[in-house]
Amino acid sequence: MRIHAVPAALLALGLVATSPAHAHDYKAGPLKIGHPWSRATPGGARVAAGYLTVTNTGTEPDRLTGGAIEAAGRGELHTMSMEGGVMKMAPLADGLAIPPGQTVTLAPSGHHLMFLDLTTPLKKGERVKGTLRFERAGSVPVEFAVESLAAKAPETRSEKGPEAHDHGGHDHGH
Amino acid sequence: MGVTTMATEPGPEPRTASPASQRGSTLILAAFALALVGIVAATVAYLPRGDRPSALSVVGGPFRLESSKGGTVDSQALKGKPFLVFFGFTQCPNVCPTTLADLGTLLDEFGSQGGEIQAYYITLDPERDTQAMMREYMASFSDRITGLSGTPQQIERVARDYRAYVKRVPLPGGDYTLEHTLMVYMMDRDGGFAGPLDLNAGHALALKQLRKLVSDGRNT
Repeated sequence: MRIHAVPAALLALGLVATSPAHAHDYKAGPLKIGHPWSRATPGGARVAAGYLTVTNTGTEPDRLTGGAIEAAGRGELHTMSMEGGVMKMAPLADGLAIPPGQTVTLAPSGHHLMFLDLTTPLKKGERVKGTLRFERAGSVPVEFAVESLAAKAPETRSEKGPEAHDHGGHDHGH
Repeated sequence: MGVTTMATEPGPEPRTASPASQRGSTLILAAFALALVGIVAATVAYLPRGDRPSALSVVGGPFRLESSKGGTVDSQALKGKPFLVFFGFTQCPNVCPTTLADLGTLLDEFGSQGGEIQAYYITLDPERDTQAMMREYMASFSDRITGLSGTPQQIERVARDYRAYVKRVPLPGGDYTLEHTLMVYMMDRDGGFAGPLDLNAGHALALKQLRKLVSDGRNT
């Protein structure tokens, strides 16, 4: 019973990372943040991207309004789509609604965080410190797992573990 | 009997007349579409072989741009060898780096099978993507891909020749990003467009496309 005391205390604080060797998840009040990840950056690159899932287990709507990493000057919330062979890009000025009972996915093929003015390149296998900003849940510190340069989905996600589940099943909402 | 009854009814007459004329205009449209398809097909099928420049080709054109490997790349020097072209920019967070990485892996795989083809990644952001920037950036990918940059006028021209769409999108923080065509162009030995390389259907298919491009010299 005592063994569970520490995680329980962390949960009570509203912040805990589980199974850090593989997928990692965070809790911020009713929000469950699944495996924030990024991609190794090519030489000289001044931008990077951030992806994650957010599940609202509560009854009130929330809104993701932005995010940042320490290695970049700033972060913006954008959406990308492919239309007839053209990559379309648009800033999400009003943020991204996280309705109660729903999971919102930020992924390479849709909504994502764009980190600008990158000061340090991101290297595969690293964890980079960052924050996510929510309208209700406030600022939530997270770490982004850096995947390979070619990663189109988090590679660690496929490893077995109780927290591992597929990104593909969620609504990309674009 | 039935026919007479039908003909005397007021209702069906305009109803039958209308679809007929619609059918007529549809047929005309279809004929036009077919003619267009025919012209394009003929253009592709009867492009002159040999030394004559493929003047009828509607996609592609000559370029002379700064190479990420130093010096310049002149498309005239590529004559006789098929090559690949695609467009992007270094401040592209999502699809450009993954496409570069994926294509690099594919070309290395093709190389290990004895195939050899060069790819050129042309920046659509000449103001930020200088030759030095491209050199540093492209070093992260297969050396079978060469980055190309140039003056805004040169880039505008090559993008226009390749019918590549590009649009500047302002960002809230004062920066900008680009929307652009994301396609790997397969160019034949005469610099004519031979179709898009499909990277989304798996490497087996893409390798088959490359083998055909290299062995035919032209994709007919």
